[in-house]
Amino acid sequence: MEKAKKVRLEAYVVALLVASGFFIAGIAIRDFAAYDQLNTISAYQKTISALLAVSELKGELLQSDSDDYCNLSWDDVWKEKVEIGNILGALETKLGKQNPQVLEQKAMYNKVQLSTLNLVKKINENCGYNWTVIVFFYTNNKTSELGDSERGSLQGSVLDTIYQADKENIKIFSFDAELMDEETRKSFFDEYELTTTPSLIINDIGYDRFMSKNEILEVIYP
Amino acid sequence: MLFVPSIPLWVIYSIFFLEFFIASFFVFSFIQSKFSKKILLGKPEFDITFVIPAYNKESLLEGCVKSIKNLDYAQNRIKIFIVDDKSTDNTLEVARKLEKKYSGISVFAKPKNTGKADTLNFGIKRASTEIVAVLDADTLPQGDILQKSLPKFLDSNIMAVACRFKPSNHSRAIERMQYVEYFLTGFYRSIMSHMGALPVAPAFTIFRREFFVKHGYFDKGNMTEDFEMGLRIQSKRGNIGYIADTYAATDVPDTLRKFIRQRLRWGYGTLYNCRKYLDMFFNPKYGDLAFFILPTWLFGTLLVSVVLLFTLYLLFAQIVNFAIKLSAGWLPYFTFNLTRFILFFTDLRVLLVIFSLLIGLSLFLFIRIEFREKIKLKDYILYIFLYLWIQAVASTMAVGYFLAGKKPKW
Repeated sequence: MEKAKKVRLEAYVVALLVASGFFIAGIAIRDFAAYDQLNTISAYQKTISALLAVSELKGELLQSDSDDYCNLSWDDVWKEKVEIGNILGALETKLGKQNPQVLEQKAMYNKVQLSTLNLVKKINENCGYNWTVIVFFYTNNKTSELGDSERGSLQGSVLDTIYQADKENIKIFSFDAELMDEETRKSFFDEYELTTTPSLIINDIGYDRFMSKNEILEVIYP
Repeated sequence: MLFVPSIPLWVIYSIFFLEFFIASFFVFSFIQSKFSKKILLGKPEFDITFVIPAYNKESLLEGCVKSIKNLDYAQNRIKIFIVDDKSTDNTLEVARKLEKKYSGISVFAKPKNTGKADTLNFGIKRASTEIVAVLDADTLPQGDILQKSLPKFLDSNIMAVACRFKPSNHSRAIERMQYVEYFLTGFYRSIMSHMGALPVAPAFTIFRREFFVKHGYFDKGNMTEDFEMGLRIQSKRGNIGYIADTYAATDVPDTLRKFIRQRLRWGYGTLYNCRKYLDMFFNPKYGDLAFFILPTWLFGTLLVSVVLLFTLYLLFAQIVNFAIKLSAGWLPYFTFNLTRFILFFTDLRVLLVIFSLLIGLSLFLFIRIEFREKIKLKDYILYIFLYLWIQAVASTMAVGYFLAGKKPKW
């Protein structure tokens, strides 16, 4: 009974290799899918930028001819903007909100949104539409000086519900305040007297606070 | 909104890595065992004493005795000691009747109730045979169990031989889930035994009596005296053999309450005995037991508690946040989005969960073929998604009792 027992080194090495194999397989599948999705976003961003450039150009050239201006196929722009938002949301969950690639795409997305926002405003003014335009500022950073990320997340959920109820007439633009360039954010905040996040601009009036669903509905449907 | 902590990714990945490592280790060891089976020649003829500790087992005693009498082994070599632990029912009277009815039975009545370990010791000390089998009164060994177990004692390093268990009651969900557990445990124990690292001598185990004489009897007052004895055998660098191709049937808790109480005792006993034999951990002279089995066992018990408490908090926080969102006017909706769907299923965490489930399922199907058992897949699913959480509750309670220095009631 005094025989020393064996430590089977080979079993540990094999187990280590097999366990690593599972991880490598998982990482390969994940990265393949993420790469694919980032490419999709990139392609969308390019398309949407091109569409917006053409739209703006046409808008400037055809200011006098409102019929032509109003017949622009902005629907595609809107759908792709929503799709990018969807993918970015999923990628945030998957790769993390602070992932450099996600942050890069979000920064670009903010620019696309700004152009889309301008276009929507123009269409609203010139083509007889009565869309409700909501601009929403939030932050994902829990330690941000720009506001409360938890309340921002809650505000996002409330806006989502409002949008789902009336997709045709409500256009929402969400901006991660931390990812906007300083100058643009300041100009928005100064113009609409905003100081924190979450905050909203609904039909060109600023609201420097969290708003419940009922409060927003009262503003939209007075 | 309640704070919902996000677990650092490295923690999640480490847990999964550990899980894959453990599974791979067992599978590799199983393959090794298949290629290096020791063939022990000879048909040993040992005299053997069965010691049955009995406390309030009047209804079970005869079944147990009958199963021993039906063993496919020379009956003149078998003695049965029934030791009554001062039962308050008619156990002693039933035992006396059995003593008269069958040959080779001796009944002992202890003057006061002192618990299972002491009752077993009482019987073992009075045995004179080279081999002693201990079994609970609710355990029924199969006919071929001695023929398959005793040859193991030809290896002089084998101090005990354990066998697979099967619940004899398996109609209720809690019983069926234990059936799956016992079935999987049988597989893992046979591999541990092959590694020379099986650290438990459970409810029906056959011992070389000499070991008790040299190294002491069951630890009185220990909540898991079988685990302690297993560790003691290992600490003396003896081995515990295991028979997977036959079994003993045993009663398992039939209610959730009884189950939790049993597992609380087992969990507490595991922690207590791990502390008692702490010097064995990572000590190379104890081989894989010291480097793999014991650390996995102890770490697993502690990790399960942390995971359970964390999950309960997350669940609570999500429910509160859900309510807060509802009160702010949010309405849940579901729209299918292919991109989100693909991204969800290609998330590394989700992929690792899928891999884990597939590994578990493959092992289950493989063991089912290996043991020729027709266990239903739905019971396995119940085991994975419900039983393990119930088990985790008991484990967490055991950790709580242990840390508080409080011994659970029997």
